[in-house]
Amino acid sequence: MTKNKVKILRNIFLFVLVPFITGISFYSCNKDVSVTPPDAPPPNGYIYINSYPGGFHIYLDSKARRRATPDSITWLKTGTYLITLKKDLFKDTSFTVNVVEGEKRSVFIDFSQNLSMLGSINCTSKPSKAQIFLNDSSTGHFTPYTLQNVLPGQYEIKYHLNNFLDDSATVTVSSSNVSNIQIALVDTTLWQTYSTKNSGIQTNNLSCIAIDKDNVIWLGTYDQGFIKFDGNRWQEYTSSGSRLPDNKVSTIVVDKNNNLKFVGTMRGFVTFDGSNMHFYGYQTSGLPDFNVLSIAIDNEDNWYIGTHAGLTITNGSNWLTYNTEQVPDNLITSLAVDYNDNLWVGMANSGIARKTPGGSWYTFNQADFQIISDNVTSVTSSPLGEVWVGFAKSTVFGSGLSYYSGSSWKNAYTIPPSSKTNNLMIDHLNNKWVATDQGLVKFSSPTVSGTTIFNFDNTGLNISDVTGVAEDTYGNIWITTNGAGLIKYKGNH
Amino acid sequence: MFYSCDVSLNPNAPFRQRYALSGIMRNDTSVQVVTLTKSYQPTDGLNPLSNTNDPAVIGAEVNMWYRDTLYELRDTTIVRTDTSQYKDSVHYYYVNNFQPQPGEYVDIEAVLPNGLLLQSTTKLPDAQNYGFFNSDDDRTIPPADGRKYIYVGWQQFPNVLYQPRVVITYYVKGDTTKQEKEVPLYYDNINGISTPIFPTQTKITFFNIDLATINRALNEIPQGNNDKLQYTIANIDIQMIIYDENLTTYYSSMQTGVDAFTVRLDQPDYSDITGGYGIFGSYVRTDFYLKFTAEYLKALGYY
Repeated sequence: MTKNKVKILRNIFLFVLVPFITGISFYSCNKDVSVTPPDAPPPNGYIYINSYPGGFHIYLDSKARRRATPDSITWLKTGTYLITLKKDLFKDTSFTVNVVEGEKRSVFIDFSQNLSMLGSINCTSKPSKAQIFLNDSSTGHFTPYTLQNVLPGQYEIKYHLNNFLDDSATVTVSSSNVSNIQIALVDTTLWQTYSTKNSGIQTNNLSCIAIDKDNVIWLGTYDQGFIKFDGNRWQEYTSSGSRLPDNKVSTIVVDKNNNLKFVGTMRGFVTFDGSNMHFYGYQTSGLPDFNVLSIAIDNEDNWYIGTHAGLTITNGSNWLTYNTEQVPDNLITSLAVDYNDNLWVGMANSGIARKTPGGSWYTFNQADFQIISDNVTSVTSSPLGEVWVGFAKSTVFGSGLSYYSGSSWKNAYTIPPSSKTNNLMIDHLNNKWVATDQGLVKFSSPTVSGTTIFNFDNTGLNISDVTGVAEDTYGNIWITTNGAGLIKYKGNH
Repeated sequence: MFYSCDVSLNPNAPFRQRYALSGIMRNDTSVQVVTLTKSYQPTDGLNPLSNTNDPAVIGAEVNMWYRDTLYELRDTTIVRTDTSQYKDSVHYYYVNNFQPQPGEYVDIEAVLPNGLLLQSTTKLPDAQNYGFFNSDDDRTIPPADGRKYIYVGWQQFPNVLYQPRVVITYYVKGDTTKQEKEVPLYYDNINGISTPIFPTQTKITFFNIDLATINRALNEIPQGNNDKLQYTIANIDIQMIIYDENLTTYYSSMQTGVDAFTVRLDQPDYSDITGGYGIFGSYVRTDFYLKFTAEYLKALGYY
């Protein structure tokens, strides 16, 4: 073989066969590969929403989110979103936000700058010209005045006026609304209150009152026995700390010598001389029943005890219960001794009975004497010899009063509609004071025109359920209430 | 050359994480439950049972909306009592005091910790109890017209499946617990054995049951105890479950196999979850009662 032929064969191998074989080998391994495109990342649009005030619930495209301002909503796609902010007392606010993935959007809403979001408080008082405080800060305004542009929410409005008790109330303000607050202020030149909030009195639930000649106040309660108030100190006497048989006191009376106080309960009664307490109970004495409703003492120092089982006379040792010919009813609701020493007996179902000093009995009932009702709830006498009787509401008449002039009965419908006259008192000016469950009534003569009704509207005091009324030697009127404690009226001098 | 072409075979496709949201809203309970799970790779080759960790997704924000009110679902766990391969606790999301009513929509949205969003909606079938059934007016067994069978029919809704269940309710003397005895539609003779055939999911809106079938079920209640006076028969309760369109479509897609051993290459892979997999549906349960006459029960020894 010539050198040329060898060279030609070598060139053929190098430049033809080697590339061919190499190409074949790569070609044989070439395969089509199908590749799924990678998952797209989640959208990362972002909105941060803040507001003043905060705490607005965030809605995205009308759907509530678990978000309240200030907070953010994440993982949003590029697009336009409707954002709604909602909060109690505020109008809803909606706006749109353009979100672009990869960017952060921030929104701040200042509700205090949007007048339609704000409300007003119309402040009035009786009397007017009271200084207005909003959440303990003076507004610099006086009643009547409307506080404008107040952020929705709850506020305490307080009024201050010289010679009147400061008073306050909570008011709720909502967007675009006017909230009204009206307070009748208590005239401290006329009224003074004693409650568990502002004094040492142990309860606000008072059932009856008596005032002794030393102007010491004796209060019966519904839940705390009885209380002695000497103008400075409140002394409580309860069933756990004394011989008082029960903490619910039905009546309290002071004898004419200013020595003994009589306290009736549903488990008997006690006498109290300021140091010693003596208990009189059913079966342990001559008392005919547990339940004592009324007590009176005559000029002979006889004690009359009205119970659920009739009327008993005693001096603490000897006991006599009157029979039904003398006192035709077992339920003795009220007792009074007039200036002629007649005993007047109010009964729940049989009208009024009278016992003369000589021991004769008379009964006055609705059928014979045209009194308002046979359901007597209270009785008292006046220095002029009149006997005034209060009645509970009957099916025919509303509750009211009748009075006995010495010879005949007259009716005086001088009290407002009420279910019950709880107590009667005639002061040194011959004004009649009627404690009712609708307020306190005062009149001097039995006419409607001369009647004053003291209630919340005209005093600012919660004297809706008056249980007792009494006068001290200074002419002050003391009022017991069930729920509002003791009230002193200084305007009767 | 031959070495360069040697490629080992891997039957697994590249692993992609996928998520599934599943839940059935019910009108017969005030506690609603949904689950969030994720796909996983077997830890031992191709054996899916080798993974013993519950593939639940925790830490997601799951919300539902019903009548414009947002219901926030909380995640929780309970001790596993099933016999699955998973060894850890069961994770799920729940909401209390939520009892959707027939005819209402429930929307669900789950935002996963990685930002993925899964969404769906269901409408509960609008099957109110009153007027849904149109069965015998007298509702007594036996029928007053002397028929030897009872007929129970109900309203037809488009694209829903019904799952009726017929039970006799009764009490055992001295026990206040209500007991149930399921009643078949009929008994079939299969390979010489009398076999009860119970109702299944169906689109048919009625069934008949012979009194003889009911008698047989009644007689089976004592289970060998001959003293039938120990039992107080209450009534027949037709317990009807009506699936919504989502569940109806799902169950229909599952019933395409020729038999239990065949795997179709084009097996449907149904999901109504936007952004993932799973089923979010609902059903409504309603009951219909038939009363036995005293004479009928007395004739069978129950009085």
